[in-house]
Amino acid sequence: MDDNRVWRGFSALVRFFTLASGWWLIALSVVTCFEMAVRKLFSFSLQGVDEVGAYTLAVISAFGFSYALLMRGHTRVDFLLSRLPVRLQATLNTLAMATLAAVAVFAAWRAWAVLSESIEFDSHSTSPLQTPLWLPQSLWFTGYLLFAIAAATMAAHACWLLTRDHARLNRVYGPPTLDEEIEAETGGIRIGADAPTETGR
Amino acid sequence: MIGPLEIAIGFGLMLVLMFMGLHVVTVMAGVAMIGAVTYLGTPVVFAFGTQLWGATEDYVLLSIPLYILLGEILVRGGATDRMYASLSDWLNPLPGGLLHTNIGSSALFSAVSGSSVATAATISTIALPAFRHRGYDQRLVLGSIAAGASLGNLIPPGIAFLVYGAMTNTSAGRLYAAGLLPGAIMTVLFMATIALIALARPKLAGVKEPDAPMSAKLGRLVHLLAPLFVFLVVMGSIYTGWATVSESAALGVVCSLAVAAAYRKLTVKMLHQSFLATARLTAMSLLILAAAFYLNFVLGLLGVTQSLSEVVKSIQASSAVLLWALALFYLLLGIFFETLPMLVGTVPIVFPFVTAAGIDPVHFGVFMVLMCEISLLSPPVGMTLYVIQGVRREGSIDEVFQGTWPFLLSMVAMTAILIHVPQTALWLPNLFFGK
Repeated sequence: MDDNRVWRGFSALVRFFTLASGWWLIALSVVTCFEMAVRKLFSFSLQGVDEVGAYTLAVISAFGFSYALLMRGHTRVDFLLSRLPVRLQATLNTLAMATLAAVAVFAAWRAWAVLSESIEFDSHSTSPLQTPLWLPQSLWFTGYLLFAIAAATMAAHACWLLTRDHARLNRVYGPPTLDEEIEAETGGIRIGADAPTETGR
Repeated sequence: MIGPLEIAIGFGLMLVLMFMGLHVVTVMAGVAMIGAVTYLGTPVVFAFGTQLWGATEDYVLLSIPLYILLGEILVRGGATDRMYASLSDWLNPLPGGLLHTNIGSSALFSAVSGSSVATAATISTIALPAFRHRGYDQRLVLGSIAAGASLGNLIPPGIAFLVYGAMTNTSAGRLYAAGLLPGAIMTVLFMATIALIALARPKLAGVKEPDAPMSAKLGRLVHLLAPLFVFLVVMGSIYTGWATVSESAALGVVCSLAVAAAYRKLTVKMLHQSFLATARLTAMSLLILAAAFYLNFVLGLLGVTQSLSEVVKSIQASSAVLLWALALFYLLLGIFFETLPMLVGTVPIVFPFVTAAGIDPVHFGVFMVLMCEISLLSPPVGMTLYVIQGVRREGSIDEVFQGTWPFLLSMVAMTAILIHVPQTALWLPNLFFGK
């Protein structure tokens, strides 16, 4: 699917949200430190850093789901899988993608229910900030929506491959190989002058 | 309320589906939904969204991405390789030489990162070239890296403690305090294992290196201080009550930025790589965690807690016997499972047992994380073992397996200490936070 323009655009969008989440975390860390310093030195508290922090986790994890999915990061137990014949592996990989898509779509639907309820009743948080809940929840829902779209598309692609090319199916939708796993965990880390710098591939 | 038989069927179904290679999140959400549909009806099924929001809208858990980010920035900021060099200055004179550096640097690195796999990969890339042509037994080299990397979660701040704390309503600060002493004992046990092997079989422990001049050692010491400084700021701010767990993590992120800036590695590209890695690890953990929260919610409504407590009361096993039985169970499960699936997959079922038997939740948390460490180290599935072999790119994985045995034995010894002397875990949290 990497040669498909729409899919490339979608991946770029997911990546954009992921990077934005990172910058947001840095900004939040700086504000938190500032708040701690002010609290200690002048016994004056900025209200609500913790509340914003809680929303932050909900929102960035929701955006992260689709990024991790594109990177094939979501955890599977591949002990048995890797020992099965190619045909069966392909079937189980398709089943895994299809059931994950079902969970993702259901989650997005229920997330929408949470959001629309907050809008309908104009819910606010009970804290001093009195945040209108639709604000963080609409970002949160967007994350689930992207996740559902990604999972459904990938499941459909897996089904399509199941009728054509099992080797490719297992390569694209099987659990990541060891090299890919190492690359994902250490990607971009350059260590020592004489240490091997190519850990992946 | 459902009986022990239904619970066993549900748990068995969960294991079967996981072995089929379905995503862990699918399995946990799926089993929970089957339970909800069968016994509770659609309102509970439809509560999925509210549960997802409730599980991730949590300030304490925000420390998960923050700790991961902190570690990523430190590694990419070049703190790790310098730390390794400096640490080897001081640990080389011990019998077993450079092997101790693997344990020490992994312990220190994992203390500031959070991922055992990342620790294994990073320390292997630094350590394996350093060991070339020094005559050490390969198996010991590999085993010591794997053992060191497995310390990752036991020494705070680790993610496993946060996940356990969130699932069982146990204070993360207490758990962190509780992990400190067992983590230190584990490190000492690993180093003692190396020293014993080196004394019994000097041939396995390579050629003795001449000591570096003191001035050079002292000059390099600053590189050891950088990660140590971050660790002390993070943990110190929690223990003194200055900061909550999440605030300490935010403080750590800012400190790690300063360290990376001091090493002149702080670039937008480096930060973006750190962000992507952080997002991936965070999302992996939180998706499973969110599903586990929903499962917990359904199990609570099904009365699983009471049902299992009655089972425990009818057995009347002492807490030590129960913990040994669980240790055996986790040893078996750990052969096939990785840390997170094992933790979130079993805690909803096992925790009611444990509390009914009168075991302290903090004590059990440390026990649980130790079991996770063992699962990382036990062949043939431990991810860290394969990662080390993958970085090594020569020889066979069997050499890694053989190298881990002495360290697995010392982990069993640690399990015994923890089971029979609960104070190893409980003394520090009670000291810091009161009973």
